[in-house]
Amino acid sequence: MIIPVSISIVMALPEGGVEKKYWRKPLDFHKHKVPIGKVIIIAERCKACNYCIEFCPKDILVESEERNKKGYKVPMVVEGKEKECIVCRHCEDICPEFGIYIEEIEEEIEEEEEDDET
Amino acid sequence: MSELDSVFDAHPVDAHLRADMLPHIWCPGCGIGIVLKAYIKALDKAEIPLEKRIMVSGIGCSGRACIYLNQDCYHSTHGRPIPFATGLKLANPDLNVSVISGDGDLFAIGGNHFIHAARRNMDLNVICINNFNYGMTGGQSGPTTPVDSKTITTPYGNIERPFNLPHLASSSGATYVARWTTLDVRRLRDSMAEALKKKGFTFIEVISPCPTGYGRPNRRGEPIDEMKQYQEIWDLREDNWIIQEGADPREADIRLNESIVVGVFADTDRPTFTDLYSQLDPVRKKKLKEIVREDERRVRE
Repeated sequence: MIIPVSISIVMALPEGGVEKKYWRKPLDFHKHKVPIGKVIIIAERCKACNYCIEFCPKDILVESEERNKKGYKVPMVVEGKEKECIVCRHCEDICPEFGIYIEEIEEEIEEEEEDDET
Repeated sequence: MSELDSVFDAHPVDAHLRADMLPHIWCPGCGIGIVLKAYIKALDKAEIPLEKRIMVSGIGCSGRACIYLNQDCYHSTHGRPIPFATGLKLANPDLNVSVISGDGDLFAIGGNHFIHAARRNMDLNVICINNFNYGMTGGQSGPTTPVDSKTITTPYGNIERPFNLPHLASSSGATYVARWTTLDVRRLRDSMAEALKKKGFTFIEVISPCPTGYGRPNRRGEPIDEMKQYQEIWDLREDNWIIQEGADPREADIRLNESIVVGVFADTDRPTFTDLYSQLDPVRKKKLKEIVREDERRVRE
């Protein structure tokens, strides 16, 4: 006999209070947290091909008005979306200029580990 | 990630690059940088030590790759990266030799070397960056230019049939054949790591945008538009299954403004040239010994 598990649970996230709907709550839900990344752009190397802006799944990058030494408009993170990077590193992989990379913010991970122990 | 990475605070790949040479000379939106980064990450993923990494490049835009890479590299003459790599492999079979070059270098002037290295099954990893034209010399038509597309030497449209590179490689005898676009960065990296670990002649074709040489006469717009074209193909994939595992390479022709078949085309095993060569030696020694014995008998008689 297969007993149907509870369907569609509305979850309230502690941070920001954004509600997300899940069809089924995963059993190891408490163990996982979406990592938060910091976008670092090496402005001197950028040639404004805009691949990172176009292919970011969270759309957190835009073209800025600031120009680098060679006159290219360097991308920047949208104000207010600094903590929305989910460390998929697609921008890092797709940048042909070796000009953008992501650093995972470590404080969040430590908190996560503490949660796991308890 | 290797040990060198912790020394630098800059880009995670900088340890494998001559970072003081950057920014590089390639045009905005060129795909060679993406392929080079995927190659570096694939080397790390395949866990190949720094002493065993060797990269050979030919002439053309992609030939600059060996200048930016901080490891053992050879910048060979036009069309001859595969003979150079063959020599390296035969002199020291422990090395992991890979060739990164363009379509004009590997298939126009170096076409003969390519098919014969594949036939012999030399243990090389060949990565071809296909941008459909000769980019460095100003955008002339080459052996991979699709029919009806315009270049500066074919202003009324190309009438020559282009090479179907996966079919050429697999029918010549390559053991691993794949094709990706520069948008499939992760699949490209994983495929490269697989090819680096594999014994035998492996071939990966990477479709790359060339906004200056090929994009301009064909009105492809900004480099981002060309990448979006790949993305449209990408979006269609789930319905049309254009990613095909073990697809028939004969049907992988590239036509102008049509979807490109990507995926792994061939994955087989065959004894490599170096394996067969090492097996030769004991036979030769036996024959030599027999000849010496016969000579000794004659002397006694």
